[in-house]
Amino acid sequence: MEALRVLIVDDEEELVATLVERLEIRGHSPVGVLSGAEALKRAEAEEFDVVVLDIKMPGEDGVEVMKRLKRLRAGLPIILLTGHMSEETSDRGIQAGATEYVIKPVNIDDLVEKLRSAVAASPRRGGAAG
Amino acid sequence: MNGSDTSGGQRGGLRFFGRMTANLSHEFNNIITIIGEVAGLLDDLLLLAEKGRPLNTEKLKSLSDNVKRQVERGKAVVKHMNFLGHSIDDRSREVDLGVLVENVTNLSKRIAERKGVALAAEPAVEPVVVNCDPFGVMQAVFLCVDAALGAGAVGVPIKIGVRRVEAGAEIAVESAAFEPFGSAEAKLEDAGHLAAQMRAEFASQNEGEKRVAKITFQA
Repeated sequence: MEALRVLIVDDEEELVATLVERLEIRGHSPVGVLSGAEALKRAEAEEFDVVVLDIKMPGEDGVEVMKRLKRLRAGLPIILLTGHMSEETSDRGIQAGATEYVIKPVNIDDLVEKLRSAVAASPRRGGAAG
Repeated sequence: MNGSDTSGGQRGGLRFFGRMTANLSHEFNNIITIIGEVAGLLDDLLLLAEKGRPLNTEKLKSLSDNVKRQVERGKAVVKHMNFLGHSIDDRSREVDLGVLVENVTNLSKRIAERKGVALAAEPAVEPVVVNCDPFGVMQAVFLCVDAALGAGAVGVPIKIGVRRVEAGAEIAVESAAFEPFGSAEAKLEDAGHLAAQMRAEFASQNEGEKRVAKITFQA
């Protein structure tokens, strides 16, 4: 089973810490950060296979953060993490290039499955999605 | 409802109520999510323990503390939600404005934070009790905050204070972002049942460099 390098971005510190630990237990290599600005710094400094990004964070537009991540790392799959998926958010997310959505509360098995699918479909791995 | 009520005012009240409850549901969802993840992590650790990895008691204590923090956070949300829910019970009753402002501040904090704005209530020195329509006043305070958020640069803080004044009492919402006042005044049109005096007072205050929206209460 391939260990995925996952960047988790959410302003809820305790959620990030717990998700990081649960993904580590499942053999992956997650890194957690608490803001879009931190996410951009980390993504600039190191390679990730996939990003899990909260779409609503204080002072930041998650979709805008996603666009900047995409500019920084073309083809990087991004999974949006959201409390409530409105159509408007969904449309904006898709247009901006989100690969997938995860709605809170998170089901860890679903999340892992979506991480794998997103990475497999990524053009970086020869998939079609971008 | 009094004579100045309009369907616009009712819609404004519903819009306020809707924004507050949507905000609270978001907060609840975050709490539930964290508790769910902690429970999931406990399951993971138990599975590992069954496979021979010893349980770390410090880790268990830390997870238990995390759940307790989320419960406290949930209790605070329930308290503010309850205050909001009961604010429509009476058209007029005795209200401690300090308590009311604390509730509006906590209900609105996440909305402000999403815009990178720190919203804080200044602690009241003493109880300031007036007869008022608590729902209307909460709505008015929120509209002032919303006007500052709409007018303001990201990161400009908002302070809300309550004090006794010669004529009675006032709630002052202070933000350097209030400019022009007209935009904030227009927002108060949403709250059609609020007193005309409140709107006028709101539109006219500008204390030097401080920009303050005031809601006044006569003794």
